[in-house]
Amino acid sequence: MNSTSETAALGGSGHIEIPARWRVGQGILCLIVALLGVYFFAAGWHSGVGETRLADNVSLFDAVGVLVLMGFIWLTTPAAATLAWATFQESVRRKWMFALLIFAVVMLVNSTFFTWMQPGSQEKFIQDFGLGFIVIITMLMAIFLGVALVPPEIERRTILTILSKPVDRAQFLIGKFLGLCLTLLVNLAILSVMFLLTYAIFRFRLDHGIKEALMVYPGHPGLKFELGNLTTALSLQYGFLIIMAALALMLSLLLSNIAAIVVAFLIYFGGQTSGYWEYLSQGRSGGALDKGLSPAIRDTIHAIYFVLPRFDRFDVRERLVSHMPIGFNYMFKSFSSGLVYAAVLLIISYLLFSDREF
Amino acid sequence: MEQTATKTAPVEETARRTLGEVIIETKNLSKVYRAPFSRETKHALTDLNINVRRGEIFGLVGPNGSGKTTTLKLLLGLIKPTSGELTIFDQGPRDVAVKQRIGFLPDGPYFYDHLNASEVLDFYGKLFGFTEKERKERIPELLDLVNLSEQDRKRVIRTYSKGMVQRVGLAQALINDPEVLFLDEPTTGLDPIGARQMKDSILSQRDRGRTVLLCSHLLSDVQAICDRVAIISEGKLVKFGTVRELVGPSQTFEVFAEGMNDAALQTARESGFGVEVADDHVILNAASADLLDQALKLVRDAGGNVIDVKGHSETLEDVFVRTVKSDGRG
Repeated sequence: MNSTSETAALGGSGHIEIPARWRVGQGILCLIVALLGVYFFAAGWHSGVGETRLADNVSLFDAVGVLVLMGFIWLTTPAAATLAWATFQESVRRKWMFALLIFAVVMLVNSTFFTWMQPGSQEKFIQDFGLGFIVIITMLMAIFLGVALVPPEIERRTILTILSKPVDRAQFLIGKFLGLCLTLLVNLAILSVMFLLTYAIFRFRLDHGIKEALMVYPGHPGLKFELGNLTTALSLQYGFLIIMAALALMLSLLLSNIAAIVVAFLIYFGGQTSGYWEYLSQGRSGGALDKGLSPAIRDTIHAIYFVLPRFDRFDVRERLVSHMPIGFNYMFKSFSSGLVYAAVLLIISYLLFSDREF
Repeated sequence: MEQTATKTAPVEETARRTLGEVIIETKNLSKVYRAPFSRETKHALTDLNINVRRGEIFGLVGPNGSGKTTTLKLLLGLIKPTSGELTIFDQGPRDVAVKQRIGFLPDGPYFYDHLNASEVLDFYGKLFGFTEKERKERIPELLDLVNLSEQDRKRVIRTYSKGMVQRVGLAQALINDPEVLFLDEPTTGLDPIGARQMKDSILSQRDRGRTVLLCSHLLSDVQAICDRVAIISEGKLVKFGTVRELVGPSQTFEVFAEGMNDAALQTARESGFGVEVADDHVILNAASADLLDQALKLVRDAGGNVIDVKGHSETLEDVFVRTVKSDGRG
C-alpha cells in the first residue's frame, strides 16, 4: 500500500442525484408503458375474442398494473440497476442453474421422442409436455434463486459493504428482484425458443412440409396461429414467474431457507387451484364438500382464495389444445393483476427488510 | 474517563485536535438485543458518549463482545439504537448523503467471489454513480495504492489469500475518497509487511485531512497511530482520551553508565536504586523522575559517564488490561 499515492477526490457531499440522462430514459420507458397500457386497455375492452369468466372485460382497476410497472421503472436508480446486473451475473454463473437449463433444453428438443406415450394425440402431448416442462423448470429457478437473493448476502456479509454505500434498502431489494426477473426472462426466452423450434420442426414433419404446416383449414389453424398462441402462453408464464420471484423473496425474509421453499411450493399449488377454492367457498365445487361446510369455514376458504395468487390465470394450456385464441383483454388482466400482486409482496418484503439488523 | 491534560500534548497534536470540528457524536447511545420470542435481553451498549473530530485517527478498543462492532454497526446504520442519539455530519447514519462521504472496511470482508478485483471495485464505483471514465481512472489508482499486482487483478476473488481480500477491502472503502473511514480490524490476515503498509495507508489518510475510526485488537498498532482512544468494556465506555492521556508520562527510568567503581555501586544500592552490572556498563533503575535526578548526580559524583537514559511508561495494553480487570473482567 503506497502511502504517498494521492488520488483524486471523487466523492462529494450532498444527496445523490439521479443523472438527467437516466431520468429521461426512465421517462421515455414510462411513457411507452403508459401508451401500451392505454392501447391494451382500449383493445382489451373491445376485444372480439370470447373469454371465460373474469377476463370478459377489463376494468379500470386492471390499469393499476400499468401504474405499478411505471413505478418500478421510476424507482430503478443506477444503483438498483447495478445490483440487478450483479445479481443476474451471479445467477447465471451458478452451476446448478446451468445444469438445469441444459437438462431442460435436452428434454425439450427430444420431446418428440416421448410422444409414443400418447399415440394419436402427439401434437397435444408436445404442447402439454413442453409448456408443462417450462413451467416446472422456470418455477424451480424462481423459487430457488428467489429464496437465495438476500439471505446469502447476509450470511456472507456482502450486505455490510453494499449498505454502507449510498444505496438505500428499497433500492437494494428492487435491484435484487429485478436481477432475478432478468435471469428468469433470459432462461424463459432460451427455453421458449428451443420449444417453439422443436414444435415447428415436429409440425413440418407431421404435415409433410413447411407449406402444408402453414395452411389454414377447418381443424387445422395453421402453424403461424399455433406458434403465436404458444408465444402468448409463454409470455403469460413470465407473469407467473414475476409473482413467484416476489413470493420467494418475501418468504426468504420471513422464514428459514427450507421453510421458505416449502411454503412457496404450497402457495404455488394453492394458487394453481385457486378456481377450486373459489367454487368451494361458494358451494359449487361439484364435490362432496359442497354441502358439509359451515358458513365460517366457507368464509375462511374465501379468505384464502382472496389472498392466494391467481396462478390459474397464467395457465392457458386448455385453451391452446382446443386452438382457442388468447385475447388482449386476458393478457392485460393477467399481467396487470400479477404486477399488482408482485408489488404488494415487494412492499411487504421492504417492511420486513427495512429495519432488519445485520 | 480521562479527558484532561491536553497541555501535555505536543503542539501539533493540540492544534489538530482544536481545529477539527466534531463530525461524529453519540449521546447516551444504547443498544439492547432481544432474542426472538423471548424476554431475554443483552445490553450490548449502554450510554455511550463519544465524539470523533475531523482529521483524527480514533481508536475503539475493547475485549471480545464489549460492544465495538455494535458501535460500528450503529454508526453505519446497519442496526438501530435502542435509545440515545447518533449523528454523522449532523445527519442520521442511514442517510444516503452520509454514505456518500464514508468508507467502510468490515472485519474479514467478503465480496462477490466470481468477480476479479477490478470488477469488484467497478461494482462499488457504480453504486456511487461514478461515470465509466471516473471508474477507469480511479480503479487502477486504488489497486496500485493497495499494491495488488496486474496479474492478481485479473484473478477472481475466490482464489485470493485473506490478505489480498483485505487489500481489496481497503480499496473498496477508499473508492469514494471518503471523509471518514471506518476500519474494523484492518490488519487481520495481513503479513507484517502488509500490516505495516496498512498502517502507513491509515496515516496517509490522516495526513490528507481524512478521519479514521479504527476498531482493533492490536493495541500496539492503536497506540502507534491513533490520536484518541475509547476503551469499551461490557458495553460501557471506561476510558476515553488521547493516547498520551491514557498512557501517561514515563514512570520508570534506566540510566546506562560506565566508569563507576564498586564503592559507587554500593552507594547506589544503599540509596535504593536497582543496579545491574554488565560487561562494560552498569544500569541504574530509577522508579520516578526525582530518583532519576539523584541517579544522574550519583554517576557524575562518582566520576562516571552517563551513556544513555531510557524512560518507560505503561503501554496501552497495560492500561487496557488494568482497566478491563478493574471493570470486572479478566
